[in-house]
Amino acid sequence: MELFLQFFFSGLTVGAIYALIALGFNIIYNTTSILNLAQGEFVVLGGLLMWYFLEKIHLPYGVSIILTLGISGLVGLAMERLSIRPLLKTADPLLLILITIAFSILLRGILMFLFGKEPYGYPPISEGAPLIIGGAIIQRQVLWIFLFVLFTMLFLYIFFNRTIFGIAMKACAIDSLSATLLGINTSQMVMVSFILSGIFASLAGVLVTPITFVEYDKGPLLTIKGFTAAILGGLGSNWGVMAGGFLLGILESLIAGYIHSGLKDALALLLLLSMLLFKPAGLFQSSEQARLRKL
Amino acid sequence: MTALLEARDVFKSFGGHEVLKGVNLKVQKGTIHALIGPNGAGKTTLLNILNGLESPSRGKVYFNGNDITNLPTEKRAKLGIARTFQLLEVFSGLTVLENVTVALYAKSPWGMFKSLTLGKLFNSQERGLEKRAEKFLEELGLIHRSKEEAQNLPAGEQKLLEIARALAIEPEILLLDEPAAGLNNRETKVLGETLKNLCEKNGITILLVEHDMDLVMKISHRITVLNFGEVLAEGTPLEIQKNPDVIKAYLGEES
Repeated sequence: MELFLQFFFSGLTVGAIYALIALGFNIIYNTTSILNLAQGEFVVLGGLLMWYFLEKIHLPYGVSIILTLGISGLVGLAMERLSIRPLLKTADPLLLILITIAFSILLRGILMFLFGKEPYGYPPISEGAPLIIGGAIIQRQVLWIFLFVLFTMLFLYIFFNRTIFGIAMKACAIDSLSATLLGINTSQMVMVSFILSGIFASLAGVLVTPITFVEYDKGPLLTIKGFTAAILGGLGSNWGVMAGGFLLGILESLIAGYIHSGLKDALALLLLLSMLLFKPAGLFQSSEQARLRKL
Repeated sequence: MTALLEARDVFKSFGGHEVLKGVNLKVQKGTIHALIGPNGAGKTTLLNILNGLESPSRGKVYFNGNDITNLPTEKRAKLGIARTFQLLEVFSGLTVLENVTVALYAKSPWGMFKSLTLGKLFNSQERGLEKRAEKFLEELGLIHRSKEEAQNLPAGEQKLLEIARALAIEPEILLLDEPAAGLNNRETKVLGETLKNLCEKNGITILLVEHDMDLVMKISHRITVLNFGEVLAEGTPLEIQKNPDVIKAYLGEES
């Protein structure tokens, strides 16, 4: 039982990170119908920028987090303005997805150029002995991760249900033609979706780096994991993809713990393939619901 | 007197097939103008050209005497041309009230940051929008539905919601593509009365494409008949009903 709890909690931790990446996938998918395959690079960007602010120029933790998230949002903005916006109305979605891959390669190259190939880490948000719950050892950083993910969820709920801007964004996702006819600026909504997803992915990097370390080429695997989580939960709904993230994290951790740790990444790919083959709408929604985008 | 909305000598072809062959249409301010004709006459294409979803191969579109042929759809919406579609296009997943509020916001957006920092709870502007949205819902008799999700309404009320949403951008003219399609008799009657009210009380000009002849004859001031991409006849409902060309087009050559 203790062992199970241990695996379960570490699964939740990784899952929270996948959930944040999947969230970015979903927000962009909903407003543009494309997948941003540079999501993983934003996680790395978050970790590396955080290291720079914290360890290199010794800014306080809070300031570093804010700066990191801000810059990541700006990188998301730049990505949208430079590579997506000029083509969004005319180009095939497949071409745009390829462009996001190109952008991820570019970003990875820049990160390697700036930070080199070695892994980076920094201390967790609060130091101290790990907690023990039901015999399982839990690092304090894990609690911070949960706190931030809860905060993100609260933000999402308020943003998409209680602010008119979020509701307008939902309207664009549901039916961008009608939204345009009403005079809603859909291009602005696309821009905001890239900023938000850049920030969420980067937050994942900021939170997880003290536990796992980060190096410039960790992005692609994280992209695949986040994408698997999104498909597992079902692209279309924010809550669905976040649940998919946690589920993937827990499954991975249990498989790695009880069977073999080498199976961890294989599991994600296997799940991804079988979901796409047998239930592409995801676990939590029917295919009709999948067509109805919700955010 | 210049027409509110005018199509002048509009041609449109899709891959060599001419759908519109020099159509002239003038919609006068304050009228309900119906566009009728057999299937494939080019009615919807003409509506699309009027509100900018498609551009004409040749010809011009004027609004209040200004050439708007090259203006994109959202700019035309801001000028005051609203549009609804044949199929139901409400924002499913949003409540009835939110459907209209979003349209009001589009007319005068104040950006994300203000929205984020204040939200509905603290922002009087945002509450003001809701108040105005409620007014539109009241006008169309939908106020009792305002908290329900839009897709759960019956077809007739979804149509009215679509119109309420279109009204929220304060249009001078409403382009309606077969508003009565899929509605039952009672719903069609409510729709007809609503449209008449909008025109008489609020002074909104309406151009509608419709197959339901009872509705068309009852509420329109003028009717234009389109046949194979050309204007076959134009006149008052009475003139159209008596026009031999129109009868021929609708009933076939033999009669």
